[in-house]
Amino acid sequence: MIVSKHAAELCALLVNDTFGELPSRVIEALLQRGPSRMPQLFERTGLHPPQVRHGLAVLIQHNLAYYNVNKDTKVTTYEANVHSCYNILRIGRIVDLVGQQYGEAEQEVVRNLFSLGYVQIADLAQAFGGHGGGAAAPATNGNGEAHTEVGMNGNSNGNGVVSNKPGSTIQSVFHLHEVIGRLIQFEILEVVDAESFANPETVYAEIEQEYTKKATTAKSLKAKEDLGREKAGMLRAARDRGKVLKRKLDAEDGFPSSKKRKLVNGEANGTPAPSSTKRRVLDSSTVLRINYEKCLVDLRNDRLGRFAADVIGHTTSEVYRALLRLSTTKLSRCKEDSKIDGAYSDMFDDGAKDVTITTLEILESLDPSINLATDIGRVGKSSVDPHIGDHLLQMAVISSTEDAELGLQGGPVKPSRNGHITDDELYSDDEPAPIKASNGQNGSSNGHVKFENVPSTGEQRVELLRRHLFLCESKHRFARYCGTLGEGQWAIDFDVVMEALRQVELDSIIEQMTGRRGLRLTRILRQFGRLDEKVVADKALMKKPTLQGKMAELQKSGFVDVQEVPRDNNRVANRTMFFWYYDADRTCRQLPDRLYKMMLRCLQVLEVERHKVKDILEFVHRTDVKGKEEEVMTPEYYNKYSKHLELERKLLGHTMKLDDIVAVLRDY
Amino acid sequence: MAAVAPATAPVDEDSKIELYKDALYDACRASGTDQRLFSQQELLDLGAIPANDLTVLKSVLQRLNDERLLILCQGPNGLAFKWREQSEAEKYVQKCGDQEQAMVYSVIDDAGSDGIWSQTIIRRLQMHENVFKAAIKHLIQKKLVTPFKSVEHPNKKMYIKASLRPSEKATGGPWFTDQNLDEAFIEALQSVIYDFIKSKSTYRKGSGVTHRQQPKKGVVRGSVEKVKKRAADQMSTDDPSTTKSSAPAVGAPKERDKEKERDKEKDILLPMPAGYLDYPTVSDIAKVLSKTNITKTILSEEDVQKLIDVLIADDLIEEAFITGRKSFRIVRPTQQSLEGWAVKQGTAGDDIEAGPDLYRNGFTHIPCGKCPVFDLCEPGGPVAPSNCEYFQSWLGKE
Repeated sequence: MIVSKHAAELCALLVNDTFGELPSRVIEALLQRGPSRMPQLFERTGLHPPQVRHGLAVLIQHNLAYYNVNKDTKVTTYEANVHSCYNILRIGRIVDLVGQQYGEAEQEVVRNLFSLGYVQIADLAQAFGGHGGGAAAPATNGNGEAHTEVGMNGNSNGNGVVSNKPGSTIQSVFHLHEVIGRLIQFEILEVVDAESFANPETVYAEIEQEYTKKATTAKSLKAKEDLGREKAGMLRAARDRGKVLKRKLDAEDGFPSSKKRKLVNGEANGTPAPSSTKRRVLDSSTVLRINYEKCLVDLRNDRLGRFAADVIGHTTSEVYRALLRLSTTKLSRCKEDSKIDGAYSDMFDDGAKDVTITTLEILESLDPSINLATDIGRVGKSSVDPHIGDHLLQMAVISSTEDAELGLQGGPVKPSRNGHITDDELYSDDEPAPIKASNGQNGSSNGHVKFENVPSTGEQRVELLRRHLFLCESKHRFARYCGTLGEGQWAIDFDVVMEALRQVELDSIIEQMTGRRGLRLTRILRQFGRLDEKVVADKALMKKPTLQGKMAELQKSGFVDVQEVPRDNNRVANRTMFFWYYDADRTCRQLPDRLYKMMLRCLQVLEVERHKVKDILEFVHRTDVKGKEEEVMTPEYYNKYSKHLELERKLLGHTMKLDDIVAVLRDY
Repeated sequence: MAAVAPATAPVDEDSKIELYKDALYDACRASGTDQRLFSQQELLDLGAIPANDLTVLKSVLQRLNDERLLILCQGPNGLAFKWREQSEAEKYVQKCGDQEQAMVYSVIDDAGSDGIWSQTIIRRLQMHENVFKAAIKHLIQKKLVTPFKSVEHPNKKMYIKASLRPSEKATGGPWFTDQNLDEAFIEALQSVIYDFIKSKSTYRKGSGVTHRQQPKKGVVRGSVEKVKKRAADQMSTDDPSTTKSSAPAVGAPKERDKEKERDKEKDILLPMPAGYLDYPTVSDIAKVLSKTNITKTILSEEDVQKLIDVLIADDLIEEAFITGRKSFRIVRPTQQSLEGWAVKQGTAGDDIEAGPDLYRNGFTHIPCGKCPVFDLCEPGGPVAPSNCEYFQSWLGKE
């Protein structure tokens, strides 16, 4: 994989920050010079052989480098794992998210796995069993302190792994196994075996090669077809190697309490598993690591949730988050690999295709404390299209007769039920129902009669929920209404939504760099394609000189470009037409590098700042000072220290914001 | 007798043609405006030519053309004719001194209200420039044509018939004042349109709203014991803000809580439910603009549509198709401030970039996003992270 200069520098800096200088120098050599063998590494890093080996050990432990042993020559080649290196930046965010979504115990396990790299369950159990951070720490080769930096963006884990007492959330080995089992089922963890250390790209390429060779010998069409299927199967098997255990657990319904626990957001934390369920134990020699691909799916959900909150409203975004959660339970990765997922995908049923979720399912998984009556404008019933669902369904082509039949049945039911819910109830947006009730109790009697007629709150809630979901449908195609089963079925077309989100991010960057006028021009070009300057001026209602200035600015920033079309063979300027155009794909590909550089500068500035207060930081890192900084330090120094922390937070926070953009443009 | 007959026959013929000519001309006038194209068959169908005699028609048309009462032009199926006003025709015959002037005038006349560039006339007539200059000078003196400036070609010398007003294409329509794009006017109209759409497409929520509610325990029906009055302090315990402590499901991170607090403090705008039918359409907006008397210029729906297109390009409003009706709403309602754009504009002074809040990601939050020397910045170089002034001031040092 070819990495840009800034990406390489950024990765090296991240490794340096987290794991120290030695691994960083090794990874720098690997990133800059590509896959290397040991002697080459000695040469390129200028380090002693034992040092290089130590560095490589750390890198491999944390999956930051791949190695590959050539079958014939038995020579090992090392290669940097750029994605892992970059993902160091996201560790804090992932830990935070796991905590939110799956619970504290899960968060604890994931946090430890981040500090340990890949690890055997037995070792992990020992670490947790040993109480206190001491047991967990030795396994890492890097310095534990580094996690301060990584964890900063999350607000909960300021001090990293080691200071938290694992014993508080994980009570027993059984509990640990249960937690791990659940995480494996959610694909957050994957099983590591000897082959996991090879670059998957290389593995895929090898399989491809093998079958290309075989394909030349195959004569008949049938044989070729069979080979193609076999190849697709092999590729999939290679990719899903780490998920064998998950599948086994799924098949056996390994940790049944998982589903419920996930939905209530860790409410049940700490309560031991019900004694009636049998206590399963995983094979202690199983080796585990974090599966970034699935973590990215969760991060994407979070990002889309924020997007929905921004575009529509808070409550709707909560509903949308629930829909996202449900639709991605079986989704393993954000982007499909065309090589693997493209051909013969009909052979494999991984359940990730065409997931539809019913409104009732969403209702069930939604946090009951969310007040669904908020965040949608209250309007009279007459000004809302009551058959919106039917219209949407009519528009979508309903292929199966089954669906069409259901549509007929479901259609008329809803409006009629709508009828006996009074407007006032349904559109009440300012006050949730309980308050209303108490108002009535407080003396005014008119509230009473109404309540008798109100349908059960459950039914009302469903209706309100549908309202939010239709809102999702109506903007940016957040969700797609695709059936009437279970009060309406919903699907998410991630391609469509992500395209919209990418667009929004790009627009925002363009707007910030060139102002609203610049944004206007690029959006016009995007809509109409290639345009002559005069036409653009007419459409944008802008003065020619201003327009020319803006266009030049946009071109300089690389957002738009000009195409020359000569009218005759002489190609003189005044006989040439100039068309402006905007290429979103190109912009999308160019921007990340700029963002890498910006992140890099942020972190470098941070390094400079750290160097400035070096003596204070050294003092703070002393074990006898840690935790009671305020008491030990003089006010003057403490002030300086807290100012530095403030600055650190600011810089890291903004780095994460930039990462947010990178993720949208590149990963999701 | 014999001598008279041949003499009167041509006269008769001539006056007959004259009669037919007038009849045809009147018939044409009666059957359509001066923009209508007549084909030969249609002229015959008017019934002014006896027995549909084509030779007679030919002579009649020749005469009409000579007198400039009929304009030859290219119709959809070959040659076609348009009639010209008698008074207009007289200008050719009486005011144009010579053939050149008549030719120049006819070209300018053909160009209509769009006007025509002098070079185009010269090229089309294959005329020498001096001849053209003399002709045009004469025509201007006679007040038949007049020079003017078109916004599309500000540097070209254009001519137009003196009796016509330049077309919208030439003047730029309502957006131009004295051939200059009136940006302030456009901006003001945009802000009014935006504020109108905003008020029509969002719902203003009062304060004191919470996103969380107490889990419902079924329908509350008024039972006897509950009807009695409660003390004020009891009331407050029912306040949803305390729900947070009672509901253990606080999976939401702190930021979300903070957000919630913020929401509670201020009013916000909310989106309308899906399928909302009362989003304003172009004609609604045009009506409001004309009613408010914001401008003396009369704006057609197309003009308003143009403004709306620009607002869409600015990513401030979006189209909403509801049951086949094209209407408009603002984007990101919950993120918009309550005060109107027009109000803001007043306070912002000349800054025309002031406007509704757009989505901003973290790109320019750090100095690098707008750094003028970003491309030069390298560690160890003259511009480096270690000596970056922008970062220093951003971090609040110096």
